[in-house]
Amino acid sequence: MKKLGRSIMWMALLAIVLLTFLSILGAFYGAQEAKSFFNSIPLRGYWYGLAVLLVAGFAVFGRLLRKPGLFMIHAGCLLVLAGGMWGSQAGHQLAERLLGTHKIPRGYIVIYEGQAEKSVLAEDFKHQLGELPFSIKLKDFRLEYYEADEKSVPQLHIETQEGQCLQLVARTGEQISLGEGKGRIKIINTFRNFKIRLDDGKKTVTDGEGPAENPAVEVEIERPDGTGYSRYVFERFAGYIHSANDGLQLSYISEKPQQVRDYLSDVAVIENGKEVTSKTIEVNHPLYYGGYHFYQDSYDAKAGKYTVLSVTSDSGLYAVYGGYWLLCLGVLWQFWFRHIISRLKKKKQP
Amino acid sequence: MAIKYTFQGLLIYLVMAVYLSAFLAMVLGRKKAAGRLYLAGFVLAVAAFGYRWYNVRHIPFQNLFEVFLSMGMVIYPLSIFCRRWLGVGGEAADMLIGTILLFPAGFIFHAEPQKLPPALQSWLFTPHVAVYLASYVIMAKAAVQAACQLNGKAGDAKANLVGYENGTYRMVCLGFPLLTLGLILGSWWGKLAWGDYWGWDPKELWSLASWLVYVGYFHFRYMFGKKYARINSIWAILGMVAIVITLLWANLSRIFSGLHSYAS
Repeated sequence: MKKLGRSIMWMALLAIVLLTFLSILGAFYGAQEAKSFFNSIPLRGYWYGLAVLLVAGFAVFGRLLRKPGLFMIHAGCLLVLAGGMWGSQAGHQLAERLLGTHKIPRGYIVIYEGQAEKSVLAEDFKHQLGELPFSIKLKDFRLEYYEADEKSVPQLHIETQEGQCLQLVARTGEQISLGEGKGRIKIINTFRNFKIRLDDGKKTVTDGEGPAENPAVEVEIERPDGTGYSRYVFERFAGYIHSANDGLQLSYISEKPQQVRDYLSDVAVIENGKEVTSKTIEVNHPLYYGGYHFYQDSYDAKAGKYTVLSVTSDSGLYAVYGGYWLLCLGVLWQFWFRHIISRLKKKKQP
Repeated sequence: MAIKYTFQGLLIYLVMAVYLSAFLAMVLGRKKAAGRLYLAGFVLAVAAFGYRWYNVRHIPFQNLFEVFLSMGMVIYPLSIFCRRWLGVGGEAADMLIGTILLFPAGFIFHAEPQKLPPALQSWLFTPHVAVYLASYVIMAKAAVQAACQLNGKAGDAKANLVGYENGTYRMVCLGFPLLTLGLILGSWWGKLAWGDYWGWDPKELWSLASWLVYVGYFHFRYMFGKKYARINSIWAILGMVAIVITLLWANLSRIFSGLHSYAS
């Protein structure tokens, strides 16, 4: 028995070292490839082996059953493994074969505003993985933004032919040297809505009314010999090059783009023609219904007409969560609480 | 590398200078003065942390600048706790660790305030990062104890402190539950935010690797006790190496781009 225990300990140590190396290797693969790697057939063998090793540990080492901390840690790991296997693609296929349950492990659902959708798509958004036993209706999708930063100032970014990067506050009259003997740049005018008007065949530059649709800045570039010329720099047409071949790359930012604070999808679950529940799905606040979680994943960036929700089955999830609880309680008991309690007991003794 | 000509930068440089002075005083045998300077450094570190919190309007755990700033504050209470409760010394090294931890905040990472992206607006943000950064500082102290053991130094029995091998073990025992909590809270948060409790992201895999090195340490030490004390110490140092990679390389290198990229 002692020999068996020793062998199991060696195997456990080997399994830990192997998983450490595999994790490091997986980190170099990137998430997508690592996922396939850890779900490949040889690695499935590893996970089964690890689960068997944990069970064997309970059978051979009475200590693992007697010490609550050690029991919780190892049982927690076993539960996480079991939950992970149950929730995997292979686990779903096995459940379908053995129990006749049909659940889609993971997919995406694209819903247009005012419409209900039940078909779940694969990651390529072309292949349908199946249909949910209920529909999700999108009532409204919206974005919330942080308030504009008051400190945000319009800026002109300058990259010289030598690769030197400079920044200038884009306010009329501001200027910056391009380096010794290389001239300077001066801001002549700024436009919220740059427009060209034709008056009797003559072109006139104006700052149009209405929303800031074409922010631009007029700059004067002074050559080292004192001569100069002007250029217009457009925020939304960064590639626009003026006729002057000065080797300067200029870009204008009138204000920092507002940062998104949240993505919100107001949805309702429709089952048998009736609305059974509704929720606003946002990041960190998924909808849970019928054994599936629905997450805010993406949206129609151009027109904001549809939302993309990711759909995940809850198979095995509660086993994993149970394992997490056991693992947390186990490590806290084993490494902290039992020592604190024994210290307090010692203090109480006369 | 750039100097920060701001009040925030000034506070960081002051803390570094005071921690370094405390270290020098300790080396010169001026223990009382060193203790006072160390406390003053901590007060300044709290001020730097508080000032940053006020400036960004959320707990400053968002990026590497803020994480290193926070870790520089954790070191002092940890030193006191370890000496009084665990019998683990090494305050001089802690003062140096404090200075080193603040160096990236002072000179490397930019301090421009950032708003929290949607994924970080979760109640799990604070506990997840807090337990991780505390565990990292604890494991750094464990690695110093392990390095002293490898150097063949004897513990200070007169000061009622445990030996370096024991000191390493106690530190790892203190930090491991926090490392575990960090991993689990992160996984739970991943489930709420992204739909997966495990996304096989490079940062996640490096975190798992760090955790597993310490799991290996405990198993090895259970098997052999102090028979191979040097190998025990090497495990603890390897754990710290994995943590440094998780914190820096996995966040900053383009090789490991992933969901945690905002941390950089």
